Amino acid sequence: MDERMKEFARRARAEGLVDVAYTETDSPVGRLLLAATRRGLVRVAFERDRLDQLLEDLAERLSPRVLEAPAELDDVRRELDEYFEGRRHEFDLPLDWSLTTGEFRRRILERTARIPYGETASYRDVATAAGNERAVRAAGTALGANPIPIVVPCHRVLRTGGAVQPRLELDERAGTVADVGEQRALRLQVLRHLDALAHRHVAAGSLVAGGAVQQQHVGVSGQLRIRRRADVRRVHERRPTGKREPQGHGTGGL
Amino acid sequence: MPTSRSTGVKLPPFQLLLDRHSGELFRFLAASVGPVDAEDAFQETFLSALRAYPKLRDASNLRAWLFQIAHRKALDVQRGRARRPIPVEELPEVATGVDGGEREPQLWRAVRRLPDKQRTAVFLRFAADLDYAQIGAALDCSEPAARQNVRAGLATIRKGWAHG
Repeated sequence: MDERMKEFARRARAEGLVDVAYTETDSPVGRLLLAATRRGLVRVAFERDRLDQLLEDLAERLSPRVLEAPAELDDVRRELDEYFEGRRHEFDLPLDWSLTTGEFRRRILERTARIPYGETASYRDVATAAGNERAVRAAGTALGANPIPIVVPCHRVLRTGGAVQPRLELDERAGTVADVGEQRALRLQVLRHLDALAHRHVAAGSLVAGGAVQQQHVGVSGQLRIRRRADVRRVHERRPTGKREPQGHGTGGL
Repeated sequence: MPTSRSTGVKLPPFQLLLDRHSGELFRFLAASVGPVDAEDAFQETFLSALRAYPKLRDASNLRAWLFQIAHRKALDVQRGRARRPIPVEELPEVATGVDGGEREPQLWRAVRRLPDKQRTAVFLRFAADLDYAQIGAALDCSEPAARQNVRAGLATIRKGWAHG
């Protein structure tokens, strides 16, 4: 941005004329678009989904007063940087849910936003927490349309019986996959790994061979199980962070 | 959101207008009021545009709309100068010299000396490449009147050119 544009962004903000402020930022999962309204963070998007298209979508759905104004997103960028460096486990950002239509979908995403760092839940878990345990498919749709990924950690929700794939395999595949849906799935997997790796799980357990292992969501100081492969799981011991919600939470407290 | 999208017109993100048109609008303003005053006129132009943007009823010619606003801001600057006791007419040579974008300063000086409407019309036709219908939209006049302003402006410039 040159000085003239910066000055314009500054004056437009001062006059309250910016309805949607956005900026671009780099991250370990690729370049991101960040957008906020006066209410809060409204959109995080992987730029593979073309910037022009993303901005047009914001203009149409929120307001055409869409302006590049990086200063408006300083807090968001800082918290994301801290998260990617492993120094932040919870986001403390106001969110604007305007881009999520439907009350149930919004509840799904709100519950998802409460899944702690390093833990996972199943689609059924969030559906149950949102008040309808049978709406697994609807939960999937809501998560698939999550307008604020990473901050609302849809990557912590796994298909019932789903698995986190080994990172190495992901890296190998990421370079070759062209399909957008597939790319998205891979990014989610990478995020799961970032969550887990930054957390320095201590491998207290051993690799356990087993058949159909249910994905489990375990309480605060309990153990987190991540299935590594279809038939193998590693049991990790979580280091308590000491700043979680006071109560342990089963699926109902997601 | 305190916005009113009641007009039903599909408007592109405002940033797109900035990205696409800020350069040529600044050049237009610099040619109209000189590069120094152009800075503020530029800010005022886009702030006015941003203020009015959500309620715009017609998105078919956003470029002409922006030039229309810029034209008015340029007039504001000139009116402001007229009130100031500074012999502005003696100064533009100095000011415009700052603008590296002008390849033919004498020609642009001649353009600047035209009456407002002719000057803007000539600029929009040849620097911004608008057609006469768009110039008419920017100047709030008919297409024939836009054509007439361009023609008259060119005639005046040629006359001045011939006289050295």
